Amino acid sequence: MKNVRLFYKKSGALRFVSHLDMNRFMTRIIRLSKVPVWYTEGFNKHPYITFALPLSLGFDSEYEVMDFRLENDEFPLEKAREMIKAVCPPGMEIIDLKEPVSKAGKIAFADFKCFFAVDSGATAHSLEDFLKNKEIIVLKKTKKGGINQIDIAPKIKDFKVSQEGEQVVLHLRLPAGGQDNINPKILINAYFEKISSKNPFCHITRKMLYLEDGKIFM
Amino acid sequence: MDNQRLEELFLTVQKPGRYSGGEMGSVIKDKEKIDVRFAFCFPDTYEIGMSHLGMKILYSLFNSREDIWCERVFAPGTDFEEVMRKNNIPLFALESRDPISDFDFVGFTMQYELSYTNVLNMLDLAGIPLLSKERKELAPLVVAGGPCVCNPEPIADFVDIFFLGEGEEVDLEVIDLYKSFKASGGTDKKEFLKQAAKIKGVYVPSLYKVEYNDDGTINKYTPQEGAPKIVEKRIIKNLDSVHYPENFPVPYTEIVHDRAVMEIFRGCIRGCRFCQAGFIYRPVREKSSETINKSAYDLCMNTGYDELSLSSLSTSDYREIEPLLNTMIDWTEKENISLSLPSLRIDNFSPELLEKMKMIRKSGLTFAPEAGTQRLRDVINKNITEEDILSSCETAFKGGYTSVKLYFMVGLPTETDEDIEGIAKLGQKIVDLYYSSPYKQKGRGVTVSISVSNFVPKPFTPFEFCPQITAEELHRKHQVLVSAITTKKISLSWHDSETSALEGVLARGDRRVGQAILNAFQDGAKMDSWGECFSYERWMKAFQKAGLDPRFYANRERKPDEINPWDHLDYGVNKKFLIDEYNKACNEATTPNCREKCAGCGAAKYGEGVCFEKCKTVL
Repeated sequence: MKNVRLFYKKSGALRFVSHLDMNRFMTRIIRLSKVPVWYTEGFNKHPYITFALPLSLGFDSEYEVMDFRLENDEFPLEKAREMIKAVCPPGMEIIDLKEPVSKAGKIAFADFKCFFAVDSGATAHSLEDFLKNKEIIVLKKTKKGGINQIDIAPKIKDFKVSQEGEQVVLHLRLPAGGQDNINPKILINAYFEKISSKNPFCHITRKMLYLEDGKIFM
Repeated sequence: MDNQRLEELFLTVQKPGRYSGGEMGSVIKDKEKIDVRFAFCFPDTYEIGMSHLGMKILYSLFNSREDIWCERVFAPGTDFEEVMRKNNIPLFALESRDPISDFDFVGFTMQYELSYTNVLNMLDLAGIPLLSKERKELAPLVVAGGPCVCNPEPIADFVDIFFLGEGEEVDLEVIDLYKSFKASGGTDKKEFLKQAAKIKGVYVPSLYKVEYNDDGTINKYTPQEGAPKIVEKRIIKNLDSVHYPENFPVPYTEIVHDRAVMEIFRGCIRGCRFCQAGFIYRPVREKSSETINKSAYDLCMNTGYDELSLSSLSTSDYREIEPLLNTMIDWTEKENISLSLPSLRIDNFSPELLEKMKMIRKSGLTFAPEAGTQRLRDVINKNITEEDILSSCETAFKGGYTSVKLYFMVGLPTETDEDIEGIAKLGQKIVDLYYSSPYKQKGRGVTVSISVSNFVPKPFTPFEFCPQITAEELHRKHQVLVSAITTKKISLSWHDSETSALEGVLARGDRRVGQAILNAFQDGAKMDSWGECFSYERWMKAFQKAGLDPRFYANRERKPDEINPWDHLDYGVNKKFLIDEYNKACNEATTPNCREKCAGCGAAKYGEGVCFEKCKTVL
């Protein structure tokens, strides 16, 4: 038995697949690929798969990470990768299959690219000003169902705003993972509330995952 | 509307995966290269519709033809419907996202009566006129099939063509006629319908004139323009050579039955008198175990499912069930696929079969005694005894099961309160059996779940003549049952009485009921099978406005010589047989199953299936 890590991109129709549904979907992909995968040994046998970091419904991602186990240590990873590639539907693109380097729990940051139309009233200028605020108070749901007021200004690790044609583009680096996790939507909602504009549709792509020291999560 | 905007709107509602399409196994074609576009509509949500086997079969069959593109359409959830109406998004097909009003055929599968208003709502969302006579153009033709069309009269005003019986052949014959009709320059809808009505299994309701008697019953049906006097259903004679899907769109989001489904036979030998499926799908025709084994394997390999279910009306009645399971277990175990067997009968539930089931998967056991006393089980011809039930439960306890689920019906013909109390007594006996059995497990109690549904008399069953009891009476019977249960080991659940009352009216309604359905829809009725959307008052108002009394359809005894709204349709079983069976029911006399002794229902005229099994053995 050998732990392996699959890196892939998710877009198109797969954007509408929730995290919970991804689990079933990836199980089927692995089964279809016929890669000799390790199954759990309980009453209800299933391939043992885990995702490094859940992705919100509606987001695209250029760097998704999923771990599973190969039954046979000697099975060539390149071959397994090609077998999985062969059964991927449109919207899923395999980047690589490798042995894991860091534990999933070590993920500390994620990069996002968000863009929305200028006709929403948003401007690169006002967005930049907003993000430079010393304090940005937002309401965040807690796991227990309550609502907390938090200041996310100090949590924004990095950002860059630009205007590309009819779109305002925002690059963000936010805390991600088990310790602290900020959904870029919270920040965007707060901005539109501030400029008193109706929240437009915002296209969000998760670009990359990082460790505490800024190295890419692998 | 452009795709990007549409996808943005998907993300504003619950479970957008229901509308986005793009599932693995969905079929995309170049619309320039096809002749006929077919919108296959299931009048309920994605989760329900995608679980339906009939749709999988026909979708795959139609798309196996290069000249046809069949796409799927479901009723949107109420949240997305609101978004669609607000943004003027017409009802679209999942594959191409084209409005279904552009299609040649808009086909509905009618699985239950409470979906009728969803048909109207979907047509309305598509911008297609609801009434057949208001649709002057040839296309789109609104067609319908499925079990409910054995009495299509309540929806006859909305539908151009009904397909009676199994659709695999007749649907394609009508599509071919359409293709050649159009190729030869035909544009007249009425002329097309006239020609289509000549195909066996096709019922064009607009070609039949109905006259009524003063008392509201039907006087006569007069076919016009050369339409047949009696329309006969179609069946597939050889189930081994009929198309079966090797693949099917596998949903990304979770649906009700999220697994590979393998059909093993059609029809049922049993002849339980309340069961419409047991009569309209006659005669029983089996697939060979080789076909089943191969199709099931291909289906699992192509879809990636790790769960496989065998489907039929009574799985344990498959003649070679044990050898079949032996072969299948070989590869399902190896491939880590769990196999499940729904619809097992109590009386032929052998220890060997249980042993197999344990190898397969440990899930709950469900039995369907249907009635609480032997007398009533004889009336409904559910030929199982209390002994059968108890010994099956004992086998189950021996096998380590500690929970049993039982299905019953209330409101059956001739039922008394004693029969209702019999349900509770039977449940109690099973509880007592567990505690007195040597297989009782230390520290583990037993759970007997009793699930009660309401009997609704259906066309083409021996009970088509029966009065249905009223919603109030159903309610009273539920209370009798509640007070008869005295142990906490029995958990009881029952079905809502008012939806059953409406189902009864729609099931045996005539053509005039269409107006009430239209009234109800215009007053906001849709998703009637979803408790939160259903309003009984709204429906009662709709009937009143149409000048109809629902009791006339549901709650009166029909005389054997009365002309029923479905009497000009032929589903194989003849009316004389149904009358004989009804009389036997009233005398508490049972009828043996098809394999024991032919009851002469009439289905032998198809020249296939169980009616000829013995002859084949002799030959």
